[in-house]
Amino acid sequence: MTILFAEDDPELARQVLTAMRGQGHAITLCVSGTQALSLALNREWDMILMDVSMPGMDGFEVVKRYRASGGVAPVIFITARAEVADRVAGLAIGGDDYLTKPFAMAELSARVEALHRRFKRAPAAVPAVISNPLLPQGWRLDSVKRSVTMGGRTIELQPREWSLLDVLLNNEGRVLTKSYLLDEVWNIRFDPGTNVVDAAVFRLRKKLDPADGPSHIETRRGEGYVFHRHDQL
Amino acid sequence: MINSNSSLWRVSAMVLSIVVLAVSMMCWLTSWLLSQSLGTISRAVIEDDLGEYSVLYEKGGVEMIRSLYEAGSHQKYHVLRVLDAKGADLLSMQSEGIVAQNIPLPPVSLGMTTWKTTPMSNGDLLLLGGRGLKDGARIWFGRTDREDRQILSGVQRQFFLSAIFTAVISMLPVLWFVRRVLCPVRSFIESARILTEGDRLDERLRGNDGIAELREFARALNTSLDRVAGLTEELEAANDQLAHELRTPLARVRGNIDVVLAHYGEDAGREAAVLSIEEIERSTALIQAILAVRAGDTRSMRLHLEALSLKGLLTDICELYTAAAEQRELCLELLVTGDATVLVDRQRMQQAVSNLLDNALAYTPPKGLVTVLLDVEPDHATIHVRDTGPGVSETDHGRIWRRFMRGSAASANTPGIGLGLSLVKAVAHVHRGEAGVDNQPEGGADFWIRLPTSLDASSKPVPGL
Repeated sequence: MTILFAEDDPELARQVLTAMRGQGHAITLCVSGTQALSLALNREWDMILMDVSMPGMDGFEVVKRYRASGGVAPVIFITARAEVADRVAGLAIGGDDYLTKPFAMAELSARVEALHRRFKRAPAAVPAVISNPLLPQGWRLDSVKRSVTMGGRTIELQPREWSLLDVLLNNEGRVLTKSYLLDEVWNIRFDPGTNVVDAAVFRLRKKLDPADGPSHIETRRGEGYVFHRHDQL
Repeated sequence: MINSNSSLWRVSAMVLSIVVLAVSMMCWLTSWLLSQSLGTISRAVIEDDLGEYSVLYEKGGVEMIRSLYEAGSHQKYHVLRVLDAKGADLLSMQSEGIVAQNIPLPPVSLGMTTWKTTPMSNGDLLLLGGRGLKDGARIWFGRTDREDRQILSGVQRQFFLSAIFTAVISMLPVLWFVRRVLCPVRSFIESARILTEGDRLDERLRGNDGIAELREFARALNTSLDRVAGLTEELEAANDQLAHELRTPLARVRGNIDVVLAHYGEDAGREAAVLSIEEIERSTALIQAILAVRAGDTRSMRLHLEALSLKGLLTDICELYTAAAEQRELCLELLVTGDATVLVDRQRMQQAVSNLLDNALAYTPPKGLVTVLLDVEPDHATIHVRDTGPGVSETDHGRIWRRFMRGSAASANTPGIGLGLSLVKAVAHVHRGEAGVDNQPEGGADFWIRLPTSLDASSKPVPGL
C-alpha cells in the first residue's frame, strides 16, 4: 500500500515509518502542511495519514484543499486534540477516520487495514453475513440467528458478541487493541474505567473455545487481542 | 433574604420607637407644665373675682354681685353662692350640670380666701374659693376644670398628629437605608452565592446604587476577584497546554515500548513493557479527563449534538458493562419507564453514565445489584445508576464531586483517580442538566443525571456548536 504520512514530530514519524515499512507498506514522510498538500496532489496514494497540528497549514486545511482539488485517497487524521468536535470537524471536511495520540502502532495498522478494505469494496454492498473465507474449519455461522455451529453444537450469541466475533474474524491473526474494539463494536471512543472489553472477550472466549485445545482468542497484555484459526475436526 | 429583611424590620422598629418615645415624653411634659399653669391661672381668676364681689357687696349688696356675675360669661363651669350670717341663701348661681346646694362649702375667714377642691359627678374637678364678708355674710365662687382639660386635650391632639407626621418623615432614612445599603448588600450576598455554589466564576458585585463606602468595597473586591480569575485562567491555560503537549511525548514513548514488546524475547522485559504501556494508558485517560472536566467547567466543552433516544443510549452502555458485571458476580439490570429523545453528545453522555457504572461496579460487593433506571417525566428525564454498595456518607456528599476527591469508601485498590464524578457533573452541566447522589432508603447509592427533554432551539445545550 502506498501511504503518505504528514507528521512534524520526528521521533513519532520515525516510529510510524519503521512500523509501516515493517508491514510492507511504501510510506512517504512529509513534515509540513504545504509539503503534504503538494505531495498528495502530485501522486496517487492508497492512504494518507495526516497529523492535525503542523506548522504552516494544519491538517484540516490540507485535507480540505486536497478534497477540493479532487483528491480521493482515504484520510486518517492523527490528533493530539481529543475533543469530539475536533474529530467531527476532521471527518466533516473529508477525513475517513481519526486516531488520538498516544496510540498503539497495532491500532494504527488495524485502522489503516480496515479503512483500506472498506475503501476498496465501498461500491459493493457490505454482506450482512460474516463470510470470512478463513473461518476455523468446521465452523458455520448463521447471521440471522446470530449463532455459531461447530462440532455439532450451536452457540447463540448476543448482538454485541456477534459484532465482536465479526471484527475478530475479519482481522484474524492481527492484534486488535482495546480502543479499536471499543470503537468498532460498541462505537465508543473513550476509555471506560472498568475492564469491559476484557470481560466481553472473556465471555465470548468461554462460549466459543473448545473444551480442550488452545483458545481462539489470545489476549496479549499491553497490546490487545488476536483471533487464531485453530482448525478443529 | 430572611436576615436582611430582619435588619430592615429592626431599623424600622428602632426609628419608630425612638420617635414615639420622644414625642410621648414631650407630650407628657408639656401637658404637665400646662396643667400646672392652668391651675395657677384658675386660682388667680377666682381670687380676683372674689375680690371684686367683696367690694361690690359692700357697695351695693348682693344685687350688685348678681348683676356682675350675669354680665360675665359664667353660663358654663361656674358656681356662686352667697350666704348671710345666719346661713340663709342670699344668692345661688350655677351653671348647667352643677347643683349649687349639693356642693360642700368650706369654712371661710375674713379677708383671706380658703380653698376646696370637689370632684363632680361628671368627672370634673370643682375648685371653690370662699371669703367672709363685712356683715358676717360669706361668699363662695368656683370654677370647674372642664375648660382647662379641653385646652389640654387639644394640645395633646396636636402632639399626636405631629407624632404621626414625624414617624412618617422618620421612615425616609429607613427608605434610604433600604435603597442605598440593604439592596446593594443583598445583591452582594446573591453574587457571593453564585460564586460559591454556581458554575459561573465571572460573577461580580454590583453596588452602583449603594453608598460610597459600599461602592468602594464592591470595586475593591471585584478588582481582587478579577486578579484571582486572571491568575486562575493563566494557570489553567498552562495546565491545558501542558496536558496537550504531553500527548506527543507519550505517543513517542508508547511507540518505542510497542517495539520493545514486539521484539523482546524475555518475560521480565515483556512484563516491564506491558506495565509501562498500562501506565501510559492511565496517564492518557487522566489527561483526557482533566481536559474534559476543565472544558465542562468553563462550558467550553464542544459537543457533537444529536437527537437520541435515551433508552437506546442506555441499552448500549448496559450491553457494554454486562460481561464486566458478571465477572464481578454482580447483576446489572436496565429498567426503563418510557423513552425520551434528547439533544445529547452521545460519546460524552455515554462516558458520564459509564463513569457512574465504573463506580457502581467498583464499590458494590459481589452478589449485589446494579440498576440503571430511566425515569421520564414531562419536561425532563433522569438517568439513575443505583447500587447495593455502602452508599455515600454524609461528609462525602459534597466533596466526591470535586476534582481528585475520592469518597471515604475508596480503598487503595479501588480503581480511579477521582475525576469520574467531576466529569459526570461537567457533562450534565453542558447539557443544561444536573447530577447528584442520594442514598436509597434500603441502602446503596443512587447517582443520577437529570436532563431537560425539550428539543427546541432555546434549550440547545451549548452556545458553541
